[in-house]
Amino acid sequence: MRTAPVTDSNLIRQIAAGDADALQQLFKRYERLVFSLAFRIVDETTVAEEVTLDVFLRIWQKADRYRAEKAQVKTWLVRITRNIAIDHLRRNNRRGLHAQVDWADSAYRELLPVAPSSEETVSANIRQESVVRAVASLPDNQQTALSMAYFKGYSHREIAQILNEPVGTVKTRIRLAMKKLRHLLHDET
Amino acid sequence: MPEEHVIEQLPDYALGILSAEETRHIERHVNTCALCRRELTTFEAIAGELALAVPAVEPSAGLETRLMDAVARTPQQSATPRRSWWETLKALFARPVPAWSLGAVAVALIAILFAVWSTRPAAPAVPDGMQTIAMAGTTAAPEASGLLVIDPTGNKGTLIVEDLPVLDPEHQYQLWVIRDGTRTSGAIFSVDETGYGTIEVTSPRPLTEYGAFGITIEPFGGSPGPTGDKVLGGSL
Repeated sequence: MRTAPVTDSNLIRQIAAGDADALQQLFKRYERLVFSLAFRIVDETTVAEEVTLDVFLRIWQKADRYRAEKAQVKTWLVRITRNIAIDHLRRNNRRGLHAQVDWADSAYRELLPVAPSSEETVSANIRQESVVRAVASLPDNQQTALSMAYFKGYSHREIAQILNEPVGTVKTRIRLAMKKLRHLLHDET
Repeated sequence: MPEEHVIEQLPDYALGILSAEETRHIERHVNTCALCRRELTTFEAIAGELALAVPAVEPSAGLETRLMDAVARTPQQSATPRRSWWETLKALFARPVPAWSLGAVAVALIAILFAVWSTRPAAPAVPDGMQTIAMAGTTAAPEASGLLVIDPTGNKGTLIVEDLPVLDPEHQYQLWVIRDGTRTSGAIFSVDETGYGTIEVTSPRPLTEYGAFGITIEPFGGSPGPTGDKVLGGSL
């Protein structure tokens, strides 16, 4: 009889209780997601690896701060990764080097950024495909504004300055993009 | 009159691109509005899922080993049971303190902060002439806590804060020492991305001559007087 894989939330509980093996399991599940996102933000392998280490060390130290009712573990990990990576760019004044970052296009077929258990592989693949398609379905100008906010942490005003567009236009693009993603990924599923 | 919903701004909040003031406004609202809180959870989940639309890249093979080596060297803050604040203070001040050492005390007080975070008791009187002032979070930062420790001479202090919101680069926190209604700047500081900070406090008069202490959000570099939201407060 096969045992069900430990849920992410239970791994976090075990980590909070001092279980380093649980942290190692969480790392195996999400290292590729965290590293890929960090790399997309900082655009340097060495720095992306340092960010990845920082993220999991943060989880090790602060696992008791996780609140399951507020967010999934994956959402929490992504938020920490973005915070640490974007902070690195700000500290080193490097946000402007690659202000615009492309999303994966819908023809993209590569590694899955999350390493799911075998039972979850099919549904995780489908979900990833849905997200990539949903982003690809956004108008180009919405994709651009969203990527500048997501990968570089630019405010509406900063994006407006870089794109030479009114702040209100940028706000609308980002909000419309997020609402459409919400519709495609949550309301229709 | 009920406050207006903040649904329009929730996508921006989930992306983390609002100013500190806008962020605080949203956080205050979602704390009391189930509808907006539910919407926010959805937008935050979308922000999390957007990472799936990033081309996957393989990290180097040795990363896991490096992590586990680092974990072995890193004490886990959450794994050790918390002593009560009073027990921790007693242990700290029971040690002979031949010379005031801000650095050593600051390190030792990290443990106290975690007790403060969970229990927030009134500050006890402590031996050796040292004084502590517990600082409680306001509605602008309900989860924040702080502890100000004043040395026996009253001339030096260390402030330790935890769970303060991380501010945008244009803003910093400022500590005000208050005497007869006059507010004087005691420190200007930022916190790390976990909301933690430890700061040396200076003032024109001995700190023990001030009756109250408050921390506000100010433009980067500080202000001549408080202008922003108060996030922490405490009194002798």
